[in-house]
Amino acid sequence: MDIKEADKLYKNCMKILVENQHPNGGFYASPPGTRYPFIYPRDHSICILGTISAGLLAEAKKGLEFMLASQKPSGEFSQRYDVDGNDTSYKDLQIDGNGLILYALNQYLKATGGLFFESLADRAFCEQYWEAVEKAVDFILQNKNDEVNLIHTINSIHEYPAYEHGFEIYANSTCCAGLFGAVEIGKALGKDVEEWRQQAEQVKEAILERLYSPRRRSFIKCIRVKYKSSDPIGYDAYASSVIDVDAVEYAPALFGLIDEHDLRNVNTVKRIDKLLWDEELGGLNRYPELWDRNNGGYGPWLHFTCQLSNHYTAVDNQDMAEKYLGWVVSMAHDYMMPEHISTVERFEMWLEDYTNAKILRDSKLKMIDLIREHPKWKEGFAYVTMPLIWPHAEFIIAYNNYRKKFFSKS
Amino acid sequence: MIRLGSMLPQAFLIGITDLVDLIGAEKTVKWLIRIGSELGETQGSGLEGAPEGDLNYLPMCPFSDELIRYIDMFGERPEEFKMIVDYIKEREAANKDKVECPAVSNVLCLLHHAYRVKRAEMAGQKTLHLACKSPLTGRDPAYNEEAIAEAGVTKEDVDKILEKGVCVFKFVKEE
Repeated sequence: MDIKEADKLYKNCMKILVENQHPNGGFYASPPGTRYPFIYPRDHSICILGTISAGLLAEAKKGLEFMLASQKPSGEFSQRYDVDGNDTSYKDLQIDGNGLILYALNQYLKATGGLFFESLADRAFCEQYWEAVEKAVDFILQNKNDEVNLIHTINSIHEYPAYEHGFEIYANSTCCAGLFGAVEIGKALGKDVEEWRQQAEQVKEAILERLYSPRRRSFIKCIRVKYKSSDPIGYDAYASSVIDVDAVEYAPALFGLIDEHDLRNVNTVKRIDKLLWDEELGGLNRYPELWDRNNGGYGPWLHFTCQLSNHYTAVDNQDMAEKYLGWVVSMAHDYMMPEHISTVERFEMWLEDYTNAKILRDSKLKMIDLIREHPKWKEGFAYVTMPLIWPHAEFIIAYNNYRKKFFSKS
Repeated sequence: MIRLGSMLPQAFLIGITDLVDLIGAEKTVKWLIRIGSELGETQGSGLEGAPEGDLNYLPMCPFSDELIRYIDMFGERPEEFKMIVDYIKEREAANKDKVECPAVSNVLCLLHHAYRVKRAEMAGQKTLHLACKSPLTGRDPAYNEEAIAEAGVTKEDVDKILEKGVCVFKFVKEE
């Protein structure tokens, strides 16, 4: 990996994060005038984690304030918001947002305390929003199925119900990590959170038992179930499993539910790398091409590539960490990153599929124009949604992990 | 065939026709508005629709599938639905605040409008419902011309959006 280039990219990532935080606190998913000029709790939470990793705690706090104040009366965080915190969602429930906000809040609390947690941690902020924390936890638990102890959702990280409606791995990992985070916050504030701890343990056990396939030696994507309260779920209209590989099957370790060295995780990552590393372009695809929801053409995503690099860094595999992060550095354009990268040929294949199926809506037409206008098009690449803020936050996190692990040794 | 697990929307539509027969269009209208408003309150502040300049629109009617299913089962839209739409149009004609009325193309526009208004109100915004196209026919849009004028656009502007959507509205920040 070209370290000088990586350092430049890192610096620009910090700049991009700061520039794309609205004065009200929300991080745009992509800048105004581009594809996603809204605040999505999922992207926003990762941006908060990025600012925490970069030591930008004032920005992290502002981001948390924005989101906690925008919570719905039910305790849910919606799919997306405008800059004033009004719900502008157009998709159904994506409960990972609830887990991510709680997880990020706890990471913020820990970061403000650092080595002097008892005296320095920003408890006052958590106390101020304790009611929102309680409601967020209650909402997660309302969506827990008592037969299998898993959290039900309609959408998750890919906003793709066909593969995510039910008990999905990313939603469950983030919600479980969020519950544990709420427990830690509660303990720091002297609250009785034993019930939450027990519930979090139940979800964790269920993830390890029901969303792990010993014969495949991998976590699986989803147990598809239509209704959260189906009992018994075997009779639910959707009852089935999605066992395809998905980059987010790494989520249990990414959110600290199991150790990076745990064989279940090591083997899951092997499967992800084997089946989703893009042999033509490099980088990590998010799921199999045949799911065919590949806006702009099938290809590798920079933030999933950054995410998985964290595993290799954690298990001291510098070659692989470099392979993953080095690819991200090499694909950045003007030290900025798109959502994902495809080839002109794959782009045309996707365009044909969506045109023939008549599912090419207006927003996609604008996206198509921008892809074709991008300088990389002439080199044979389709840069889709440029820039997307999320990968900049993931790179900050991944590169800091990498530097801490490998630079401190030399 | 109606599956038991998905019969509730159809039961609700049958309930509306029964209610018009039992208590009349006026009270049924109030009932539908109350439901929309109450559900809106549970969801908190929110601004729905895809932005198109200063306006917002919905590409699809969220109720069209259930309405079409209902008509597939019970034939042409029942007289009771028409009574509700007519009542709203008559009320609109006599209403000094017509600008705040919904542009109604079918019975569920009322429920939807009340829901949308309540959520926008919680966000400190007033809702102008400019036009709505029937999800059943896709033709004969209902317009609220006063709302169109207040929004500062023309009917042609609205028609242009209706070519790709079914429902056009504008949110205006309350002073």
